Amino acid sequence: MYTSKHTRLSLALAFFMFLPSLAAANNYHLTIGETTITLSSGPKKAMTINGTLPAPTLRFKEGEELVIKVTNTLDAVSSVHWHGLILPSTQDGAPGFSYKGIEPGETFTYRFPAKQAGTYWYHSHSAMQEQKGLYGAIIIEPKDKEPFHYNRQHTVVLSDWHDARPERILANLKRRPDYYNFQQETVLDLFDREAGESFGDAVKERMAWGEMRMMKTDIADVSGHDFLINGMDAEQNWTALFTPGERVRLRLVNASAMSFMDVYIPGLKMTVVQADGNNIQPVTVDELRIAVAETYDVIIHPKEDRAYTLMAEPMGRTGHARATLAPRHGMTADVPARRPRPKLTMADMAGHAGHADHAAMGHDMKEMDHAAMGHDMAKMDHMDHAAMGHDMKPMAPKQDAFYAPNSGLIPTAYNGGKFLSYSDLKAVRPVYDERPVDREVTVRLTGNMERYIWSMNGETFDDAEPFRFREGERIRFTFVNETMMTHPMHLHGMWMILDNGQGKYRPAKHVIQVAPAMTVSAEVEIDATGHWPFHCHLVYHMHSGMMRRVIVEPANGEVSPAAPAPTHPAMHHQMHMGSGQ
Amino acid sequence: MRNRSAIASVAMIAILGLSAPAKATGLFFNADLERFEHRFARNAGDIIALEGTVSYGGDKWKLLGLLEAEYARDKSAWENVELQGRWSMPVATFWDAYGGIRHDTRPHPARSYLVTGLSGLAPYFIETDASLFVSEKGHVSARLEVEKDLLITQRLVFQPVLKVDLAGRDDEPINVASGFVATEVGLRLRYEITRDFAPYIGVNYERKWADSGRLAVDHGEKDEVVSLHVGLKLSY
Repeated sequence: MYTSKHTRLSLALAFFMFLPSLAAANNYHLTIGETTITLSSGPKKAMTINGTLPAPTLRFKEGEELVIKVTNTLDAVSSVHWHGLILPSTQDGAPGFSYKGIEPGETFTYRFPAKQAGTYWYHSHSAMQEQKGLYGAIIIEPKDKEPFHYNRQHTVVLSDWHDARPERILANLKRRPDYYNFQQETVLDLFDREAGESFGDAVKERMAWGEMRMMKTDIADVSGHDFLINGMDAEQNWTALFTPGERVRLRLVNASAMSFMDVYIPGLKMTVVQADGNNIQPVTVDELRIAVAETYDVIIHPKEDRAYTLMAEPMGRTGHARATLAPRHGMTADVPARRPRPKLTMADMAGHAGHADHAAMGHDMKEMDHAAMGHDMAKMDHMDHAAMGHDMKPMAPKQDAFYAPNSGLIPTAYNGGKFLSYSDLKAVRPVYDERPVDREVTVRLTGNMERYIWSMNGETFDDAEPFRFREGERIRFTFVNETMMTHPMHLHGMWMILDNGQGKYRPAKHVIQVAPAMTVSAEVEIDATGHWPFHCHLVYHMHSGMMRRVIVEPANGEVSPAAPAPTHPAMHHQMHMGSGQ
Repeated sequence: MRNRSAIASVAMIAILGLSAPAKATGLFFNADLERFEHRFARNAGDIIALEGTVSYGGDKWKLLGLLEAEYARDKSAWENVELQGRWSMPVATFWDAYGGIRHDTRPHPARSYLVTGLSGLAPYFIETDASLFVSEKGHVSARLEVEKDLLITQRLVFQPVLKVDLAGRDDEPINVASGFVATEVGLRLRYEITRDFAPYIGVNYERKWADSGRLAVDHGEKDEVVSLHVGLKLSY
């Protein structure tokens, strides 16, 4: 497809021959419109940028000034947000914050310097349009040499296409939250039990979940997706080439609206070298889970003259995306069978503070004690409750500090090998120095599944006061997931330094996934003024309220005019809730 | 009397509608035809029954219109027609409280009621609706409806339904005597071809109790009806 050698050559040519017009290389004109795309199941009306799904990959060089014109030819307001890029808030592209959106027929010109390098992406931030196809990758070539080598690279944009309009999907979820769940437990399942489980136990367990009005099959809210790799479904089989012996860099971007993807390539190890655009110390894995809106760069080293299948299975196992890496076009490799779907366990329920009365459930089920502990439990040292054993099934030996012990969501590599954990991510060069935190802010991830309302600290975006910070502060956010869903939390404009036990080498990320019943912390150097969105990147969660406005006041003390006064009573409440312990 | 209450219902629904915020983000329209069925009874005439809800609103409030109606095929006449307009608001995680108006055009004479109640999801996923009515005559009555979906497979759903009507005082013209008025127990088996299109079959047992039963018999109706039904559940 494209080799870095060619890029370097063309950049060199541009530099020497067209020095005065160098700016043209970082100039893009994007047109948002509607296009009919074709999937195996037929033609689909998509929203596209420059007529393609995914949108064209934008390539820049670190340090240059980007000029990107975006014309909206839709009938509705649209926008483009540069996901993960550090830029002025007016150029961030989230309507309703420091930017207005692009009206039908209008053109907005974004202008900002590329302050960073790596793999990022861009997408609409309006009316759930990303579900309909408005997303693409961004590659920013670094000024300095990268700390890893590769001969060839491919961009792999994962996404989840849905035939239904996003507004309809949300309406369906609001009236019937299990509308898209066709993996519920049935009466017949009671007769098809795991070995060693009695009928009585199975009924009791079912009753325990029923009493809470919770479903252990609620992994993903929406089903019915076609999972795509670079716009092609499993049957269409996007194919990328390599020459045996080459090191191939895959730039993985999860542009899905709702789907966490488990990615693996049978027969090949993947060496992860970048996470969310920042270089990390190489870690070799068999499989990784990419949250919605995350990016990972991996290097593979296929030596044999054969095809390999790249599999991407959504966490809820409601389908799969597949691509082929091969020495020549037309070659394919075996497509592995879809693996069994996970089920949530009582461990995933443990953060559910709204159900503190679970203790009353008793039912001589040991895990109930655990549930009664509410989210405090999640703050305990993870090793302590590993010993508590709260699933009815024999415990799997797997552990990951970013999942509740015995969570039903703990991933296992397809071959029993190494699965990437957040604990493995170690920055090559920390983006920020270590320094004391000025303020702790607790962000409880909350929701009402039955009404399909999602919130932060119990308040939806419309009701909540903004988080207000001052430029120069160092904030430590602590996410406490009180729901049963995994939330990919995304802060615009500033890096989140993930607390994963790696000390000064903690990685800086733009998305942090927080599994059910888990507590995860991240430090943020507040260094970008303006109004910024801070939200769950599951598009239907964000649009159901799981978003906050973050206002960063300039260090010189001027209050930004668009925001309410800082002495608002609800603000006190907010900060009280956010003061941590 | 009938006209007045009908006008009052329409006016109330209009006022509720106009008081809704003009900004329509996060507001949804849904329509459910829960039952559209043909009932075959051994000891009574065939009935076509309808039960539907339209709703408009969001997380903070909903405006609901409910219809329940029965059409007797042998008499070519509507036997029961009940309309409700409700304003509904969440009061707990799983529960909404509502208030509104109910107007029955059948049986004759028509009756209007104020209605208030709670609807929501009880533990074990039991859909519940408990209503309290005060008629234009000042009579108090109540109704409890519960139903539960039991999945046989992902699309084959067994649904037991129970409906109980109680009255505080006699209202003879409409065959109501104080105490237990009527109960209805139904078992339905539906197949969800899609979530929004589900044919079903079922069996229903309706019983009118004590004096309400005697009033029904006096008016040429049965106090006990067992029926088989074939129907369709539709939603949008």
